Amino acid sequence: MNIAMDFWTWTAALLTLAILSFLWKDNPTYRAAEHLYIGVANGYSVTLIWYNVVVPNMIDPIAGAYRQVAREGMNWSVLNPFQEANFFVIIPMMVGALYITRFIPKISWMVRIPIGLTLGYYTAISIPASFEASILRQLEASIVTRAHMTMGFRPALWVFLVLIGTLSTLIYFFFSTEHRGILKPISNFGILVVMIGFGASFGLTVMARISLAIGRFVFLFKDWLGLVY
Amino acid sequence: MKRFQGTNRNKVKLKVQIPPVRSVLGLLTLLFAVSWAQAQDMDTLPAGMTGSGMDAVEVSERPEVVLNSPEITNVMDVPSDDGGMILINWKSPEGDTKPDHYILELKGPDGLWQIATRTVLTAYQVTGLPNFVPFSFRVKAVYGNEFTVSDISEEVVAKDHWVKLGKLPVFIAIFLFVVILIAFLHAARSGVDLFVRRISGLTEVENAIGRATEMGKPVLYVPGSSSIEDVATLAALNILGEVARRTVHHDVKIICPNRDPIVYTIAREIVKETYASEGRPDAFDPDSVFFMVPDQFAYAAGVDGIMVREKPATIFLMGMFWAESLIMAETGASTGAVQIAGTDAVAQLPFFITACDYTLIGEELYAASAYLSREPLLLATLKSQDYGKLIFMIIMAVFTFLALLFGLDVVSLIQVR
Amino acid sequence: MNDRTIWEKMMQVDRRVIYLIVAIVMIVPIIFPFDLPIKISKRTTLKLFNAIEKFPEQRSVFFISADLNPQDQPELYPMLVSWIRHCFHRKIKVLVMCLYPTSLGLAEQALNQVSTEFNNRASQGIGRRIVYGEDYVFLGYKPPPIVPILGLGENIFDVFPRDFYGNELKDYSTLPMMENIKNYRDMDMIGSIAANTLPVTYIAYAQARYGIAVTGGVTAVSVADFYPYLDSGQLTGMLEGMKGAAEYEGLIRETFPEEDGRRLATEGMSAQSTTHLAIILMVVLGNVCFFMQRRHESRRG
Repeated sequence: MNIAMDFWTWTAALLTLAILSFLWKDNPTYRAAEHLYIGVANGYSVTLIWYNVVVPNMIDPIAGAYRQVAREGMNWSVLNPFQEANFFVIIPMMVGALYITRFIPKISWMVRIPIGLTLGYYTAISIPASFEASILRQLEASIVTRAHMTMGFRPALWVFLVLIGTLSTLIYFFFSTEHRGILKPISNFGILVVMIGFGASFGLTVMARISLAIGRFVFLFKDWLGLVY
Repeated sequence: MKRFQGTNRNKVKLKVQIPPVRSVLGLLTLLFAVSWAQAQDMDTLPAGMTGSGMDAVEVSERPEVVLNSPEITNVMDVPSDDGGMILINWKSPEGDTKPDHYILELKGPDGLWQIATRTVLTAYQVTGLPNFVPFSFRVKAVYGNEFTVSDISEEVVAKDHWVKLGKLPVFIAIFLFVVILIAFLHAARSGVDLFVRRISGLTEVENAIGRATEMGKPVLYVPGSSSIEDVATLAALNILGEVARRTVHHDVKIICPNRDPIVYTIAREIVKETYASEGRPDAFDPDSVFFMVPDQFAYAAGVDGIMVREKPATIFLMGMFWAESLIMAETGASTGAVQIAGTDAVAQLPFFITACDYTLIGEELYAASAYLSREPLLLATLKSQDYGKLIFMIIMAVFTFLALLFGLDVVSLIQVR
Repeated sequence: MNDRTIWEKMMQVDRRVIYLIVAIVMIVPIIFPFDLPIKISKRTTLKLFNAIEKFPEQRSVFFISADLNPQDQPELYPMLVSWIRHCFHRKIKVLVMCLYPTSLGLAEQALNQVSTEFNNRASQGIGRRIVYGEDYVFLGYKPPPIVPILGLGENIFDVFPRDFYGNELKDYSTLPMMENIKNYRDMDMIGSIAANTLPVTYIAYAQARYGIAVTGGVTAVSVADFYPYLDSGQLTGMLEGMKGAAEYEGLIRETFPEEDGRRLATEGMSAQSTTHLAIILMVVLGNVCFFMQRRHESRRG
C-alpha cells in the first residue's frame, strides 16, 4: 500500500467517491460535488472566454485603434476591418449585444437580428458541407462497382450487403407510400438492419460506460490508494 | 391478466410473401454472381483500383546499367483552385534501375533553379506560388551519388479561379432539393392533399388510450427533456394535441409534466384548446399540465414518482431525451403500463426499443407529427426529404446495375473533388 | 401476491446488487491484473498507425484537435498521449488545439507528460530531447468550433496570433516549426479527439474544402456514427474507445522498444474484459428470466 500524499489527489478521490455515492441513493455529498463541478466548469469557461475571446477579438483592437488615434490623430485606417487595430469591431460587437435585449420586453424582438445572422451563417456554411460529406460521399461509397468485386469474395459480399441494407432502411423510412406488396418484406428487412445497428450501438455504449468506470477505479486504487504498482 | 412489458411488440414480424421476395432475392443473387464471375475474368484492375495512380519506386542495386532520365509528362495549373498551385507529373526513367528518389526543381522569373521537393512519387503539387508568374520545372532522378535530369518543362502560370467545378454535384443536389422543397411547400399551402402513410406506432395510440378508459387510469404524456428549439420537441407537442383529443373522447385524465418553462406554456395551451375545440372546456383540469423542475435528473425522478403513484395505464415518452431515457422507460415498464416512445436521439433509441412497447424511430417521429398535424411546413419538409431519399435510392440502384453489368464509370458523375 | 416465482424475483432484484457485482468484477482485475492478448483491429487502429508510420520524418505535421473533457478522460486521454508519443518517436511535428475550454488542462498535461518522459530518457542517453517550438506547439483554445476549423484552412496566424503561452506564432526564433506551417496544406493529417461528432465536422469542413486527411479518436458510445465515414475512406482509421487506445499503446510499445511510459488504457483492459463477461451473463440471465416468467404466466393463464 502506498497512499498518495498529494492534496489534489485526495481532493479528486474524495469528489469521485461523493459522485459514486449516488449509486446508493441521492444525497447531499453527491449534490455538493455535482454543484462544485458545474460551478468550477462555468467559472473556468468564463475566465478563458474573457482572455481568449473577448480580450483579443474586442478589447485589443479597440484599445489599439484608440492608441493609434491618440498618437497619430484621426485617420481612415482605424476603420479598416483588415487592420489588426480598428474601430470596425464595434459594429459586430453591437449586433452581438442585441442578445441582451431579450430581457427588455419592449424591444425583445431585436434579439432576432443576431439570431438571424448566426442562423443564416451556420445554415449556409453547413448545408453544402453536409451534402458533400454526409450525402454525396456516402452515396458514392455505397455504389457497388466492378472494382469492389476484385477485392475478394468476403469484401465483395460486404459491400453488397451494405448496399442492400442502405436501400431497405431508406425504404422503411419512406413515408410517401404504404408498405404493401414487395415493399413490405423489404422494409421489414430494413428495420431488422436498423435493430442490428441499435444492438451494436447499445453494446458500444455499455463498453464506453465501463471504460469510464474503470478509469475512475484505476485512479482510486492505483493513484490514490496505491494498491497496485 | 396479461402484462404488457418488454419487447414483445417490437419484434420484427417477417411476414413472408413468397413470390416477390423470392424474385427480388433471386435477382440480387444473380446480379452478385454475374458481376463476381465477370470480375474474376478480368486481367487488369479496373480504373479506381490503382489508388492515386502514382507509383512508388523501389530501390534496386545494379550499378552498371545505363541511367536514363525521367520525363515530365504534364505540367498544369491546378484547375478550380484558389491560385498558387501547379501540378507536375513525370514518368520514371525507362530501364531496370529505378532511382532512389526524385528532386523537383522550379525556376521563376529570377532565372534561378530552386528545389521544390524531394519525393519518391512521380507527381507533385507545388503550392504557395505567386499567381500569373511563369515557372518552369525539371526533375532530377537520384541514384545514390549520381543523378539524371529531365528536359526543362514549358512555362506555366498558376491562376486563381472563381468557380470550383469539382463541387458541381453538391450544387446540383442542393438545387434539386430546394426546388422539390419549394414545390411541396407550394402544394401544401394551396391545399393539395399530400399523402403520408400511417405510422404503425400511431395505430396503437387509439388502443392504448382505450385501454386507459377500461382501466379507469390516467394517460401520462412526457414531452421530452429539451427546449422548444429541438425539432423533436415540436413533433412531441404536435402529437400531444392528437393524444389530448382522444383523451377527451374517451374521458380519460391526461397528466403532462414539463421540464422547460416555454414548452410547458405551449403544452398547456394545446391541451386546453383541444378540450375547448372538442366542446368540453369544463373537463380541462388546469393541474393536469404542469411545470415540474428544470434539472434533468430531478425531472426524471419526478416523472418516475408519478409513474409509481398514479400507475398510468398508458405512458407516452415523446421528444428529445438524454441519459434519463432509460430511468423513465424502466420505471414505466415496471408499473406494467403500455409505453409508446418516440425520439430522434439515436443513442437513446436502443433503450426505448427494449423497454417500451412501441417506439417511433427517428424520422418516424417527425412523420407522425406531420401526419397528425397536417401542418404545411412539416408536410412539405417530410415529403421533400422522402423524394430526396427516393432520388438517392434510384441513383444507388441504377448506378450499381450500370457499373456491375456494363462496367461504366458512373461513380465519377457524382464524385466531388 | 406473495406467490412470486423465482424468475420474477430475479427480474426485480435491487439494482444496487447489480452495481455491487459490476464493481467487484471491475476492481479485482485492477488490483490483480492479468495479461490478455489484445487483438489489433485492422481497419481502424492499424490503418491509422500505418498511416502515421508512413509520414516522412522531420517535416511532417500531425495536427491534433484535442477536445476531450474530464468526463471522457479514461477513454480519450490515453489516445492523446499515444498519438503524441508516436509522433515524437517518429520525429513528426505536433500541433495541438482545443475547441472547448475544459480540454485545455488535459491537453497541456498530456503534452507535458510525454515531453517529460522523452527528456528523462534523453538524459539517460536514450532517444532524443523534445523542445517546445521545435517538436510541438500548443495553440490553445478558440471558440466557436467552426471558426478555427475553417480559419486554419486559410491562415493559422489569423486564427491564433499567439500560442497558448503567449508567444507570437510568427516569432520563428521561439517557434521555429511554425515557419513552414501556414494552413492545412502544410499539415499531413488532422486527428480529432472528441466525445461528440467533431471528427465529422472536420470531414465536412476541413476535408471537403481543403482535402486534408482526417482521423478520429472517439468514445465507444459514438463509434457507430463513424463507421460509414471509415468505409468511404473519409476517415483514415480511428481509435475506438479505451480498447482502441490500448491497441495503439501496444503497437507503439512493439515498434519502439525504448518506450516505457505508463499505458493507461492497457491497465484497464483486463477489468474491461471481466466486466463485459459479467454483463453478457446478466443479459442472458435477464432474458432467460423474462421468457421463463412469460411461460409461467401463460401456463397459469
